[in-house]
Amino acid sequence: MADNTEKIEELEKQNRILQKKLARSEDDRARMEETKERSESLLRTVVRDLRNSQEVLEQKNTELASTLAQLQTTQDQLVESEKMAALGQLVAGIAHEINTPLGAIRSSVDNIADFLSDRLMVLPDFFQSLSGDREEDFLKLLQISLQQDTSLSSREKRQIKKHLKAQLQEKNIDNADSLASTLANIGVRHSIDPFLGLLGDREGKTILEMAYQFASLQKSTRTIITGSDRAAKVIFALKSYARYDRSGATVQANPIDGIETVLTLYHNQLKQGVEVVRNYEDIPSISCYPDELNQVWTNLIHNALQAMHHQGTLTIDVCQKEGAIAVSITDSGTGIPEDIKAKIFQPFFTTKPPGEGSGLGLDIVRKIVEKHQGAIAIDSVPGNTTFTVSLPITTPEKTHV
Amino acid sequence: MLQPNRQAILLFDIVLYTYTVGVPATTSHSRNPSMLKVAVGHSNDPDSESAIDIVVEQCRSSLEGVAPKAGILFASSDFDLEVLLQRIHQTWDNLELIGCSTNGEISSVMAFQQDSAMLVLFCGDTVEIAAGVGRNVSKDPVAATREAIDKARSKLNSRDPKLCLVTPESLTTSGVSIIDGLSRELGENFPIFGGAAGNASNQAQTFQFFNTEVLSDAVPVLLFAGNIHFSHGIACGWNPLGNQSRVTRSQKNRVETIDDRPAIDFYEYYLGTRTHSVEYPIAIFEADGNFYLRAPQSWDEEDGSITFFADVPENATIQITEASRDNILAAAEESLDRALESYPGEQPEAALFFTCAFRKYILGTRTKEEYELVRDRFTQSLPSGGFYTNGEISPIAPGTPTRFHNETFVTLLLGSQ
Repeated sequence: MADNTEKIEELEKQNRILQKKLARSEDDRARMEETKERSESLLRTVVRDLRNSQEVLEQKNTELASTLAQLQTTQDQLVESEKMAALGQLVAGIAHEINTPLGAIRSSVDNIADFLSDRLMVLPDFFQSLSGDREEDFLKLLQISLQQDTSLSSREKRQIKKHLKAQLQEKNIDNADSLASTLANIGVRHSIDPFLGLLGDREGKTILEMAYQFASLQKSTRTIITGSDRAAKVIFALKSYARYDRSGATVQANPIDGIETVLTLYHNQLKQGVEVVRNYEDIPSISCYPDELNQVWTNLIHNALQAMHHQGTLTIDVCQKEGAIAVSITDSGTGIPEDIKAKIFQPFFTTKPPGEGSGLGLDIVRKIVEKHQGAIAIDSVPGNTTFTVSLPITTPEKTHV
Repeated sequence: MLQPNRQAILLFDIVLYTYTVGVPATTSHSRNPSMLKVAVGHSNDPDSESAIDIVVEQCRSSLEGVAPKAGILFASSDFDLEVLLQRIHQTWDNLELIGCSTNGEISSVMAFQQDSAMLVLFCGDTVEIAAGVGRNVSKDPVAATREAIDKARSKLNSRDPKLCLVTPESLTTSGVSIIDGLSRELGENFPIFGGAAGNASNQAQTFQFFNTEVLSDAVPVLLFAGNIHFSHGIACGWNPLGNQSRVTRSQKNRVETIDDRPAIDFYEYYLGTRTHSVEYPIAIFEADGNFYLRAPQSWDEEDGSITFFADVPENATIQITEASRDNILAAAEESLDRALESYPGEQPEAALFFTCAFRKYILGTRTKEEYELVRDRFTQSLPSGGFYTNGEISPIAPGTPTRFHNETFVTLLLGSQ
């Protein structure tokens, strides 16, 4: 009996638990269904968002591709304009290089023309009027004029004149100052003794004047020769600089020729305060794009000059080592601070004031050097900054970049 | 952006803390009455009287005549809760008892159950345990928490409590303000563990227990002092999903607008319903890319605001999160592993688990695996108890302030050797 009661109690308990579990199970099922609906909704929304994001990303991607294309065009334009700016500076320098000898030639030609129009007619009478001694004196003066050293400084000329004047005064000859000038201009350097007879002659002054005119004529001729030589040299450098092989193939050329060409074109900017030291070893010609390498030398030399404000020493070392040509261009400027050393080859990086530098100069240099499968390195301490360009002696043929 | 942030997950997956307190572990046998001993009783009989009879009987038999000092009762609110408390009081009239209504119970006796009652009892001559309670916590959380701590502390001989367990109200006020209040009383980095009271799905009220009283809007606490070792681990398993949004207006735990639109639109957008969905908490991102979770507690159809279980800062970057059942289960295992690895003594005497009710909603029929996975890590049977909470309470890192969590699994190991 007691057993039965216990069993009934136990069964009742199990029944209570099962009923509770059933009720709970219904609740839980409803909740799980709700949860599932929300979960499905979340999934749908996230998938929809992903699709939207994908569309937005695709659109952004298209925009970015178009922006990138624009940027590339702009960069190409900037590279071109940087090249044009460099060319502009070069042209200004060259104009000066050519104008200077042209001016000298022009004034020499004026001088010769004046002589011809003023003096040519009187020459027969003048020669007829000369006595034997004076004719000898005149020819001696012309001889001195022909041999005269044209490289005297103003100071040296002043000293010669002073020396001659003192001798004239010692001999009590009138117009010592004017006579000393004329004698000095003709080319008399030391003693007036050979010309004492002439100086004592009544016609002595006229003869000296005429000799002086001939000396000027001589000088003008020399100036024209020097000037035209100089202009021809600049034109030749310009032709070398601009040599451009349209085939896009490399040619054999010696980098030193290119460096010298650039130095010639920069002659005017170098001569006022820059000492150029050339340490050139004998190097072979290399397979290269000479016109592009000229851009490299121009850029590095131009930067070097700017870095030392056109005052100091520009040292160019060229040597051959380990199958490569190494060209080092060193300036005595303030140097490149450590923190910007890593950035100077980055496009658009510049330390120059806005509007002066595009920041593409060294980027172009780096690209040209890389095109030659070479390398560029910097070593800089204050007072000594060196850019070293290494170029392999044989560069495999490459397509034009 | 839509990829789960691995770094962020780490915050919840790699959390592990060790506290070494009390006297050094000895080699004495676990039957030594000076050591911490834990007894557990658990019944799923829906009849209140029958259920508590079984629970008390199980505990008695396990105690072998030792008198318990304190206990925690976790029970479904479907029971006649006063009947349960009275029966416990009649059995052990000096017991320091706290507890709360729950959303599911776990124990070493019956594993995972719903609608059950479960009692954990603590004994040990060298361990001091005292209970306290604070009332009307929604009106003044500072005063309520001070009241609770003062009451418990006054009963301790030791002036140096080591650990606090708490089973507070979860619906009337923000969990963060309760923890702030407790930390103000106990010290900023004092270790506090526990879970916020749960409610049945058809009830909008939770209950807290203090000795024989069934309360709401209250904060019951147990303070432990003396010879006690403990360690813990927490993990969650939720991952952010979808687009990031920004909290544009919020006050404490009430979020008014998200992306300048009513907060409930945020959930409606993702879940297609205006029902607040606790199983989809939001991830709140910190500046370093880590995140913590906040689950929605209630919503206001009129002004479009959502009240969360704890504070959500204004201007916070947020993202809805979801969890797979595998991830949730793996997190429970990980939480226990972390706690075991860092246990300072020889071996723990008991384990307490505080796991989120919302984990259960997603786990569904696999909920029982959460405890089974944890149980199978123990080499021998360990008295254990825990419940499905409305918010988990535990520090994040050793020696750091206690935090209020959602969707998280907290393991607390206790012992005295």
